[in-house]
Amino acid sequence: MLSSVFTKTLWERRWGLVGWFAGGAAMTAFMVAIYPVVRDSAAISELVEQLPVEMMSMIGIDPAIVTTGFGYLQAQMYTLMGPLLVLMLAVGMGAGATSVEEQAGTADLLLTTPTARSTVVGQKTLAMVVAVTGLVLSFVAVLLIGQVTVELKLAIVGILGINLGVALLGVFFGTMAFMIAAWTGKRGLASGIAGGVAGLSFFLNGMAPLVEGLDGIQKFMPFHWYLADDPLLGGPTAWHLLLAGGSVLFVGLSVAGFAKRDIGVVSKLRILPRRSARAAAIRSSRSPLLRSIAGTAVWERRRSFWWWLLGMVSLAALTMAFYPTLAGTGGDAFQSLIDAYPPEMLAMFGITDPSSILTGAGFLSTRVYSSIGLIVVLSFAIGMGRAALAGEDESGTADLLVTLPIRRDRIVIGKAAAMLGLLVALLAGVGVFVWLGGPLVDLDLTVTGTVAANAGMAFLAFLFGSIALAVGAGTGSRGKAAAVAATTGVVAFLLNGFGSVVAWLEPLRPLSPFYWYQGDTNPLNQSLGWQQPLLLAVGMILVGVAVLLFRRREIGT
Amino acid sequence: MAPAIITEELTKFYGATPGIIELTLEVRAGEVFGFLGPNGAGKSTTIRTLLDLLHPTSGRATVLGYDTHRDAIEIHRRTGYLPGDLSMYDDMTAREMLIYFSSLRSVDTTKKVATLAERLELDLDRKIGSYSSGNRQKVGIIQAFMHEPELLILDEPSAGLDPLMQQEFYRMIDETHREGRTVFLSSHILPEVERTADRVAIVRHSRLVALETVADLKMKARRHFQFVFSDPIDPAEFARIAGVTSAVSSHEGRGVDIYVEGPVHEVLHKASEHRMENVISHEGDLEDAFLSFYEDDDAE
Repeated sequence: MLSSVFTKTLWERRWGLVGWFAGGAAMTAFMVAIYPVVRDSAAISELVEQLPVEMMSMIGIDPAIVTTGFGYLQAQMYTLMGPLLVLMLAVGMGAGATSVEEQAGTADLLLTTPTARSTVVGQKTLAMVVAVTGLVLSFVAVLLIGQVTVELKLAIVGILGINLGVALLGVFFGTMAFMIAAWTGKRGLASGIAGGVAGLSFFLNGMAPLVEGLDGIQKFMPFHWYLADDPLLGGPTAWHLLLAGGSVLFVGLSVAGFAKRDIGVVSKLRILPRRSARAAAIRSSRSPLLRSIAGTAVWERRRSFWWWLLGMVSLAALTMAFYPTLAGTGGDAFQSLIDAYPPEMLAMFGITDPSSILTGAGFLSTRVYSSIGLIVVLSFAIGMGRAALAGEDESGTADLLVTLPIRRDRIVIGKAAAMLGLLVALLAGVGVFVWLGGPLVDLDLTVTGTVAANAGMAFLAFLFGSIALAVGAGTGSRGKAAAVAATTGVVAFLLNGFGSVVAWLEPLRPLSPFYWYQGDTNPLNQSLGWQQPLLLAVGMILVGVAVLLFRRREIGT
Repeated sequence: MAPAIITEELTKFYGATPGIIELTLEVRAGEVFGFLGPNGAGKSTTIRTLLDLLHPTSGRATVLGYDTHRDAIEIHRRTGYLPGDLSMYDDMTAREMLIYFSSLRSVDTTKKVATLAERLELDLDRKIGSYSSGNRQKVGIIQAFMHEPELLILDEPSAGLDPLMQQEFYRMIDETHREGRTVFLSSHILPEVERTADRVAIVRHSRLVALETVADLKMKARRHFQFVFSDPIDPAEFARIAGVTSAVSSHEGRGVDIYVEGPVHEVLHKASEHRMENVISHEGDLEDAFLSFYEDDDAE
């Protein structure tokens, strides 16, 4: 397995990839298993006949086919969860392909073997393509089982088309991340830009049919190239060639960029001018933050935090900017239909309060507080949770930290406090922005709802970050910490959504933290009550678990 | 004074793989103690167990009179530790990391850090990730010395230092020694141990194989004599003597080169039976002693 850069790249990720494939198959299996409920629901069939096309398309459903296997899978799996999974794997592998080796110093060894740099880039790219293909095949395998067991009635050419499309979408953004990392050596920048562009293109593509003036730019969106002309019906499309062509271009640019790089020297390219490094170092060394565990954990994120905040605020700003257009064009038509459809249906798609979907709060929630924004904030929290203890354990710095004359409990609590503090700061920033910007576009937000949504999201993210913290405290493995936290998050999210439609899941629904977060309404309409303290309390209990686990931990094993 | 470190049949297994087995030793307060052994012998395992980074499978240990697990914090307060596999926060400058650690130790080390940085000629305001390995090691040494601990536990401390810096580092150990503080030093570099340590322990295959003073160890070392006689001599006369490991003819049959382990009385007695023109005696060195503990490695 270790005879080439290609096989070695896959080999070192073998367990991680097994996890990705199993996760992909499990997610698909869950979707497929729920399908008969949707198909056979009289309420949904009725609804389809009554709802206007605009209403449905706003939440990503084509009414003509919502109860077919095609419509269901398109909406449930191939517009958000599937691409999200594929993109996370592809962008992660692309951004880290060369930059991780440069940072670790192993690039020096690798590149002084008689291996051309272009070979390294080519084989690492190929490894990413193979990994993405494997993940997509895990979807396909389950879909084929679904064809037989629950009669999805999909065309084979359609299964091929949508999965080829989603794989190409992943490879497109994966190679984009690779290119940025190859030119700059910066992993964070690479995943940030590629992920940001992917998110923006997803967002604008979803908005385009709803907002006049946006339809012109839709054809420039990679998400459009992926889904245009319904590959799930008709098989691979000519649009897919754009994704493939773009990927080839990015690989070429990666080869060119990597050939020029001074290995291990991070590019000095900066967006903002900077004081002299010396002055900056001395200034930051006077920072009061450096005097405690929590402070230093915050200090380490003193720059990246602002990027996360900027991302969240931009997302909120974009969503809010579109609100007046939407409310103006379709408001009346939607309003008359509110009584006509069963709330369970939309709950399944993450929209839990139908009567509020046309309000500013409901609209903002669907984008910021219930979907993309939620994923962003959860990623931030889980990233921090896994870095806190597992990160120090893996990098070896825990040896120095743990041999200081302080109780291990203090380390865990300090790290958790930093996580909670930054999450509260992040959501406070978003909340203030939304609150101040709301009146400009007539969002009509309530103070209670704004506080409930932002506090709720901060504490929800703290809860999942604390899972990563606790798993890291027990195992010392960043991978396990992130995997357990993310899996729990996905299961809990689906439990809340499907719990409102699937009878046997309903009793379990109150166990989901997402239920506490948004209940049967949207987060911005949630009341302030037991929910937010409960989220915080469970997070703190998990920190307590982390404390107990870390007391017993043998560092570096 | 109470011993600085006591281990009693200290044992650490990683699953079925032995790290250290039944290690029993005592490090006296105020001595410089060398801890030697080939790669993978269990040196770092022992050190990391003493510092509560690992938990013993069986046996126990105390450091400065404190239990390694129960009183770990008190031990950490009084100890400076330099890991063998040194990892630090690459995105921090050295100054930032030292401020961080000093704060967590609740000790003001500003002056001491400045002095140490000057002695070791280190610029503290660069990112740790950008240092050469020698300079990284200096940061590690500073963080171990900065709070003037009672006990220094140093795992291969001079790795990566240039010869001038090594000398400076040895002087730092000597000063620590004179101030009555204890140094527990694991090393591969024999001149370093010879130069600094009072006593040494040697571990091999996870077990203690020797524990003695440096002087005693040298005494036991194989010694080398070169005799030259007036008349030809048969080396077999010497080869028969107990302790002689090799006797080879030299000087066109008039001389003999002899390696002896243990007492030299018999060899000198035999030589004195002949008319001796010259004798050269080489002092046994630690390297010879050290190698003799390692040699049967090859056989296994």
